[in-house]
Amino acid sequence: MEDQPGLVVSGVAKTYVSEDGPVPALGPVDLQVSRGRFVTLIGPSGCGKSTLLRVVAGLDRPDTGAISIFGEDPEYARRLKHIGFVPQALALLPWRTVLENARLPLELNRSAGTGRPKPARDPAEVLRALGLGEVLDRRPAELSGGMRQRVAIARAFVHEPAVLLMDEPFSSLDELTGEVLRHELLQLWQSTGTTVLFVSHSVSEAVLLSDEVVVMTHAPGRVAAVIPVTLERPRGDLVEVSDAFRDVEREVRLALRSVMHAGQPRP
Amino acid sequence: MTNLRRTTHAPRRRRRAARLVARWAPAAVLLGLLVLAWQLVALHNAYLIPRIGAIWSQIVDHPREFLDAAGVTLEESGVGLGASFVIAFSLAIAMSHIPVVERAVMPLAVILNVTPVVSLAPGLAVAFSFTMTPRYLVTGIIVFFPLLVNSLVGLRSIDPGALQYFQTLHASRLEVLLHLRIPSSLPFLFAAARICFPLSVIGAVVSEFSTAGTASGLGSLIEVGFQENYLPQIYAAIFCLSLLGLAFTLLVTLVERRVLSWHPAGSARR
Ligand SMILES: Nc1ncnc2c1ncn2[C@@H]1O[C@H](COP(=O)(O)OP(=O)(O)OP(=O)(O)O)[C@@H](O)[C@H]1O
Ligand SMILES: [Mg+2]
Repeated sequence: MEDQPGLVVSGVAKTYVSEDGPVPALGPVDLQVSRGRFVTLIGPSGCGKSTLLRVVAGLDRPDTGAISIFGEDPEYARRLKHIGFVPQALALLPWRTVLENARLPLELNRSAGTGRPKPARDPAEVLRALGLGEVLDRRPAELSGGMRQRVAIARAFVHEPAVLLMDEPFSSLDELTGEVLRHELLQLWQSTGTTVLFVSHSVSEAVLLSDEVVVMTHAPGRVAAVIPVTLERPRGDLVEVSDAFRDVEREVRLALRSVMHAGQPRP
Repeated sequence: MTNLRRTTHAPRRRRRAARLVARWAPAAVLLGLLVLAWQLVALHNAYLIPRIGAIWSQIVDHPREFLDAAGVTLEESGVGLGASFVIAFSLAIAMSHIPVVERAVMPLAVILNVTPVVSLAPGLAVAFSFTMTPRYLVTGIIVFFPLLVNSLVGLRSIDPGALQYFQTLHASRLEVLLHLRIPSSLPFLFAAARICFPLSVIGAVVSEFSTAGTASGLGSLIEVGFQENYLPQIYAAIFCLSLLGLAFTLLVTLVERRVLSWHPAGSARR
């Protein structure tokens, strides 16, 4: 199961057109994420990570190249609700309670839910697994930043998407909360087997979470290096202080450094 | 137990009462001073303004007349406002989805807005003779533009990130409308209600001025008072109009507090 093609990005490039002329934002990028794998993108700011995620989610069309999500194009995958998305700005609905927010993916595009082999998860149960059992009836404005982040994560898991796309979900949290949430995410992910494409700007976060870390170049971002992370799973609280962890972390840092020194203008 | 409750609750109630007094005492004092000034002027210049007692007894002696008139005026503003809202909101939904509809409708709506609508009243009265139609039309037209603009801005005030999230689930346009656009527009609709009810009452009263003979509202009472040179009736009707506006504003505030409890501006106002 591990090496079946999950998410395949081949030759994808994107150039935005602004008033000052074309802005090459991405690629061409070739990338493969095997089924059930957790892969993290890391690279200089503005190198096109969010753009790549948007293209994979079918929100933006690439100029060249193609995406395949378990053999389907993104448009079709969206139609079947195979895509889970955690945007950086969360996008929770302020008028809905925590539970109602987590239920949203089940209410939208209902026709996609029929004929699916797996029944969707119970939103309340996912929320409880993330420690939100006490606040099901609160509104997002009444929550801390970490709790809001948990709601967005729960919402992404509720409809059991085949591919989960997460754009720097922990970057606005303090160090301690981020730490707790990373481990909670790992636990939740391990209980589902979803394929994850994650964007991060923290090397240690990338190493802790991933099976592979993909280092990208300056804009237009290409794949500079793919670094496998062979640390055993499940990864407990102590994995970050192990020597093996430090070794991978150093490897990623070096790859990033050579990208940063590659003679590109600073953004 | 009872004892305990009494000792913990009594000070809180007293504190609440103190806060209420602090909140409303200045307005009450100012109002009292104005009433006093009014009464002083009225006592010596009966031809300028009537005494408060005369206004009051006007209402107390003819309660049915004023109640019926208030009902008529309320009906005019209510029907005009309701019909106008249905049309404006539907148009705004169409405009937020189809650009060409906006390009067609907006210039005409602006022209309608800069036309002093009350000046239409006499013409409409002639056209529809003595029915309620011209009154509904004037109140409806006068609130149309603010309703349309607020609906449109509200329906467009969606969080772009939330829209993208909806798109990743392939939500239909109808789902985006029901679960995203309409809830986002509610704060704007409540703001519109606060502006438009007083506006619609203006429309109703003015249209009553030029359509005598039809069911008499508060504006008709003012008109009759004017013709008979009888000030207490004029001011009694004005007093009722203020009361009507106050009651409506209170109602909107209460509903808004329930419906918009999630909205930061709504909870800050509390
Ligand atoms: N809608 C757009 N129109 C024009 N240019 C855009 C648009 N979106 C992104 N860009 C440009 O494309 C490039 C890549 O942007 P993108 O947001 O994908 O970068 P990123 O790697 O996610 O950056 P960060 O790490 O800061 O989030 C940037 O130069 C950006 O200015
Ligand atoms: Mg980004």
